Amino acid sequence: MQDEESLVRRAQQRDHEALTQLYEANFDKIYRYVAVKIGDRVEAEDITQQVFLNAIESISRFKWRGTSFSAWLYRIAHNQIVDYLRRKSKRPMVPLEKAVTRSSADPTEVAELNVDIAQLAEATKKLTKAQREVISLRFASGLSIAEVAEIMGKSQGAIKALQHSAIVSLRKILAVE
Amino acid sequence: MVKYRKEFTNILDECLERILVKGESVEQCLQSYPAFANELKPLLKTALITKKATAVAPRSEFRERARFQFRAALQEMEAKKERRGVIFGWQPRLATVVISVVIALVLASSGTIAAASNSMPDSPLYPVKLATETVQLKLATSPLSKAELYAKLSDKRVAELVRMAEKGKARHVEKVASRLNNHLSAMAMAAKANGELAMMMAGEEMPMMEAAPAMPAPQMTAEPAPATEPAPQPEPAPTKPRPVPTPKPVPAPPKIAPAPSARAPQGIAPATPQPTDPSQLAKMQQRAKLKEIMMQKAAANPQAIREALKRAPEAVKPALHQALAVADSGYEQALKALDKE
Repeated sequence: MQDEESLVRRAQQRDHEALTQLYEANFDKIYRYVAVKIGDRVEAEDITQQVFLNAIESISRFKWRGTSFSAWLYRIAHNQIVDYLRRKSKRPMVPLEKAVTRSSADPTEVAELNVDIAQLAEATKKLTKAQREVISLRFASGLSIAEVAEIMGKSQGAIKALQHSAIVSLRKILAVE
Repeated sequence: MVKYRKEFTNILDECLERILVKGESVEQCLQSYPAFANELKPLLKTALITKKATAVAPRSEFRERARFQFRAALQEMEAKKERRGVIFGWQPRLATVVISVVIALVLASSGTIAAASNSMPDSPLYPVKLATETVQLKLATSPLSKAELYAKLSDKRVAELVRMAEKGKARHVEKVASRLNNHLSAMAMAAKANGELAMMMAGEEMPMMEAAPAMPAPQMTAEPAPATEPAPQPEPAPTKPRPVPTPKPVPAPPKIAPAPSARAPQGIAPATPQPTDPSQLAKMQQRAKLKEIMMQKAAANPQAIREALKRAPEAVKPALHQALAVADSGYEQALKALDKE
């Protein structure tokens, strides 16, 4: 944490190296978080870029008030997604199976993965907002229970319970035996 | 029962950590908790499916583009700081317009604007040129006229790129490439906005996205996407959009699929909707003309950069390569946006 804190402090002084380190450390996680939440790879790219452009624009206003830098970054991403959904509310979506593919040379793997993503995208629509958030943060971004708890402002116990209920619901929706 | 649920929730989380993070197998975990195996197994399988489905990675070309634009934004930030010291320290958008108009009016009679219009980024008059362009953009009212203007400004940026490359001024090449990226991004957005306007005027219905709140129609402007202010509250809420002055990525045009009723069966050419309103017809003609111009520019401007690359000193070549990528991608996106009828 101390490392991140000193890195962020340097970044707030417009230290390019520190800003770049924070960017590289968080880029993939934020991209996956956005991609899973909106289900469109191209739009996820634009939103991810925007998240980091907004972050460097407003990093000087970031304050350590018991929340980590990543929690702040996810909040920007969340707000960006909300804005995106608002702006695009009258536009059609590209089907997820066409939009999101994994960087893989194995076509069999890609085909199999596409099906899973399509099912997952449909399935998560039936979850509660909080359950969806836990799935995005825990599985897409690979964050720990403690990190998810911090970002969502809930206790770790509450996050574990949400994770449990989300997986139970997903199992029913996806009909996993 | 409550105690059992809590215990099970903790066991599930422990197994998830072991499987997803430490790479253990489902069977290993089930062996640790045989009493819960029947309940655990399908949930762990579901978790694995979910994890696999969410393992999407950014495309390498996007990663490169994003990295370049991030660096360009950092440089723009530095440049902005420098400009603040040089030109009045203006910041609010309205002040920018007002001051720019005043400058334009005052300087018009002296011929400074005329002189500045041909200035290069290493010239003291260059900020005047940029201010004049800002005024021109503010005066362009329709998305299409904004797109046309951005196309013209992009030509200017390419000419500047070539000149700065000849002079071996890598930093200026990078800055101009960043501005070119902004112009092309805004041009694509303006073309896109015009396309949506045309769709709505033609009465095509755009399906609502599920779970999205009912909102007014998207903004029909060429302005960059609004930024969102991170708020400290635990439950995030969308904040009021505000413009971001940093370089924006060249956005992909929205995927506007024709409404089912507008789709023609396979093998039959879709009927082109014929506007009855003369003003709409004029807009369609203007759009077609813009597309034609854009196609020429999409060929000519990247070619000019390629030519410059051949002659450029080694030091400016990386920046020129990036500029070329920006130009190729930007014109492609703008043309795609114009293709959406």
